[in-house]
Amino acid sequence: MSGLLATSLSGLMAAQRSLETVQHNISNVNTEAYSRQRVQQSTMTPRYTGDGYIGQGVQVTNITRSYDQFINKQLNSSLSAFGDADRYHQLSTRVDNIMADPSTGMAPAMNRFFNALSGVANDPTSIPSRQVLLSEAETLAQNFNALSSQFEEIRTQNNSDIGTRVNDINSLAKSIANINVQLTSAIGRSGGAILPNDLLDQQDALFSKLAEIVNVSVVPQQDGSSSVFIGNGQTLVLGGSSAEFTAFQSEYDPNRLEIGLKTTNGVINVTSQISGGSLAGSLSFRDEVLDPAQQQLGMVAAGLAMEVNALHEQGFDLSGTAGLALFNFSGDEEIPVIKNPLNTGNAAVTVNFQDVNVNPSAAGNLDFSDFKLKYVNAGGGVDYTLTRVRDNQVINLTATDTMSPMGKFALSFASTQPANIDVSALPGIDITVDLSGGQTISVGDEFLTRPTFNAAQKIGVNITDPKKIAAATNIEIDPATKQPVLDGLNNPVIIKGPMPGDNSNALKLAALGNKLGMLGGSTSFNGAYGQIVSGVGGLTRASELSSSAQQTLLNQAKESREGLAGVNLDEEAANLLKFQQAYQASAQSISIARSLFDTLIGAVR
Amino acid sequence: MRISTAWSQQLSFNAMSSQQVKLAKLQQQLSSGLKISAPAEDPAAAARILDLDKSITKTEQYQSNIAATRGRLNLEESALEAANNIMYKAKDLTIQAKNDTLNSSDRLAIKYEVDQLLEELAGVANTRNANGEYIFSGDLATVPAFAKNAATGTYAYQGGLQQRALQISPTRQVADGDLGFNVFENINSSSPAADENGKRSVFNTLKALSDGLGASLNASSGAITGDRFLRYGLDYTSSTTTFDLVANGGITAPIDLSGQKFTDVNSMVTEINAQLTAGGFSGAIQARSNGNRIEFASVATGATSSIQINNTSGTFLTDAGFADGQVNAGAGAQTFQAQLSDVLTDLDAALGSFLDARSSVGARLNALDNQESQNEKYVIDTKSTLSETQDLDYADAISQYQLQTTALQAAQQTFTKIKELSLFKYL
Repeated sequence: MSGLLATSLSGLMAAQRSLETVQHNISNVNTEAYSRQRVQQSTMTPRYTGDGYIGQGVQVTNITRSYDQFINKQLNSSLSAFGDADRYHQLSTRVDNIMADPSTGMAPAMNRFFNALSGVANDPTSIPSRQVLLSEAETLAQNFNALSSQFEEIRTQNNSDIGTRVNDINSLAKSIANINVQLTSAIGRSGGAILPNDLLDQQDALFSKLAEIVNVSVVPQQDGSSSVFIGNGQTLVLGGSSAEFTAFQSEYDPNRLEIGLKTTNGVINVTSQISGGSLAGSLSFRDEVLDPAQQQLGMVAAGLAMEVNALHEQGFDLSGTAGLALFNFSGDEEIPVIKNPLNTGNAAVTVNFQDVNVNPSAAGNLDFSDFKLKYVNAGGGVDYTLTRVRDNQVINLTATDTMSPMGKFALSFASTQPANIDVSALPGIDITVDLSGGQTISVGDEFLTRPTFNAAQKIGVNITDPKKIAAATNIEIDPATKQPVLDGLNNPVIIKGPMPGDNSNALKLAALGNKLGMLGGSTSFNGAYGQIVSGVGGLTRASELSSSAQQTLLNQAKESREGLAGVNLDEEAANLLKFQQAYQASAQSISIARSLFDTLIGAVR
Repeated sequence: MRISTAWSQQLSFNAMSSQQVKLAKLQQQLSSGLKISAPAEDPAAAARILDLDKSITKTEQYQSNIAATRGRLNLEESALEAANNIMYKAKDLTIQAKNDTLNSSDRLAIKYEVDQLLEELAGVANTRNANGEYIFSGDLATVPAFAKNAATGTYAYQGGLQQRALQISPTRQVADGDLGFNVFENINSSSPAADENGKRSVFNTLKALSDGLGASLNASSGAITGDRFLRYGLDYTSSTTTFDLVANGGITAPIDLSGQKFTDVNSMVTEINAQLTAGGFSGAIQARSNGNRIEFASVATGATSSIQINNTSGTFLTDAGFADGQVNAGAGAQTFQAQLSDVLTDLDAALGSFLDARSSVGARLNALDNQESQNEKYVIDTKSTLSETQDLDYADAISQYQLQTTALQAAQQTFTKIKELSLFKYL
């Protein structure tokens, strides 16, 4: 009789646990990373009697969560892939939008500048038309500056973003390590038989958040904790301890952030090992979209200034004096050179833009890349190598003593070159190594130079007086033959005085707008700018496609996780009914047991 | 397969959200009228649009260059027509004056008329355009083309030597005028009074007519003119330059310009004349300016007068445009009839020069018209290509817009309907 009561009671208890679990599921229907839980029941050990085994009711063996390690792994790697593609797409869309904005668009400004030159050619004596040219030149320079500083602004934001994400990684790692500690003790308590479902869900949620930022590999350990690794096995979390990442300034460029792992031996640079997640998206956006776009813009600005200045300096202004540089971006301006801190020599290297009047293809040779100069002293005229950083193409350079002063070496394109290089000259820059006055250089010493990177930011207009625009060439012409008068050396004779109506230099300057002088003489300034626009547009488009493809994959992964682990309210309602009925039935059997007991008592009375 | 409640909600939301994105995109297209709003939507088209825009603005600049050139050529055309009319009047007067029945006072009356014509022609040759530029002065546009020469009493060309050209297509330049030197000064002449190159300026021709009518039948003197542009002087501060001027076959005057700097042709003339005076040669030789050039002449007239220049040292001859040993002799006085006959011939030559200039202007105006219509057609074609590349097809976009609206409404309605379905309602 007491067995009857006990059996019913076990049913009642089991139904109650199940009802509690259903309610837990219902309450957590919208909880992120929650896995629905189920009560595992089994029969109690039956009692052996002469009649056979008599069931002793039900017992709750465990409460488990619907969980599949493979599905979760799939979800996390999809989160990483999507985080990467989506971040890249978001950022490149911003650059794309800037390029599309007609108010900052360089193309109209360039068109108006060359049209204004045409205007001066039409009316070289007119001060207003010269004034228009000056203000158009000013607008052009400002547009270069504005576009470049917008790039710079995106870079700053991207940097602070990278910093935030690194902090997020660190705090997530700390939380995961904390949960590891709790997990170890919770799992230890039951000897590994009963798992703390909600704690595991919480840790899974943290893994997912981490995966959104960076691709991680999670390795479950024997004691119930999980270790987390980044990249090529850099440990982020091991048991209850977590490593710390940091974003630090690049030695070559303070505006460039690198990712480092703090160790007892200092910070290890792990930037190249970061893959997946929004952090990788930010990094690859910078390397593939932002930096090349800024380099290319600088290349157009530098090329334009070099070509225009060279021609302008050949001309003569309204007062008959030789033209100055129109843009204050002369060939003499020094380009930043950064010494490798590990250099053992103390030699200084200077880099200048070449003068188009000396080397007519200087603007065409410009390349949108940083360059690394290295002293190799390999003999056979190969004294230095110059590495194009964007694709690591190496060219050999020969050093020649300029003799003034002694020990100053000018570097030139060596006669011996590696096979399959695509250039045949220096990239529009002159490099001088100064070994005068006892300065030294050692084999292996390196210098980084960034010719085009800041060029668009630095360009400005050098002339404020419209009379100083050099529209004239002042070449003496024989009026009858219309040919230039030549001097003893067969050079045209230059008139040394004002020729206010002479527009021949303005005509040449205006024709620069159509000159195929950029990118090795393959395209015009406008065309080179167009290549930036279509380049950024192409990358943005590709990233949009890959982002939406990754979105689909992510949705599929989420769907399979939700299909397995998500709470379905209708299902829970049905379960509610089921367990309610079981509870009612068990209660009813208790009531029947009581009436049986009453019957027995009544029979005895 | 099972689906979780949260995911089914997410799916409906995803569907609505993607419809809304498409609608927003369409709305942006409809309100801007442009097919693509950012290069990423069609990178190749974005670069092409920049190219097409550049072609259009560039060609429109050529069109405005053409308009400017046309205005200037029209002005030159009317100046040349006025010069033509003056020539016809001058010819009439010359023919009238050749009539032997005229007495000296009749001739004087004609002379006054000719003097007026000379001034009138100088006015025409110094025509200025709306910018105040002298249209016959070439690249010295701010200087009058012809100025009265104090020494000869006639007009000499002092403009530039180069005619300005304007760009009217990527490959074509057109001169927007003609040099006064070529139109008025460098005119062939067979008169003994012509210069050493056989040229006589139309002003000198009219002056000869006027002089003849004033009964001064002048013999000419030997004179040589350097053909270099010396407006801004010569600099011998640190060099030696000496030369000899030889008059009438014997009088040799050494000139030394070493160590001196001249900023214009007149200061050089003053210096040379001062040296001639100091050496006692001023009665035989004189230096004078001829516009922007330098000229040496013997003071005597007639067939025995001559002038020669010999280099001794330095570069003066090359700098000023003389040949070593260059010599020119004068000519004796002509008869009245002979002088006027030569004038008549030279007036015809001047008319020929004006006609040449006019037909060249006409040809250029014609070229402008041709180029303008070519440019116009190019702009229209390019604009239509541009429109095809960047403009929105409204009919297509509007029908898509309606389709999307319907789809969004459907998504919204199914969402609310599905949300109503819940087992809990029946508990």
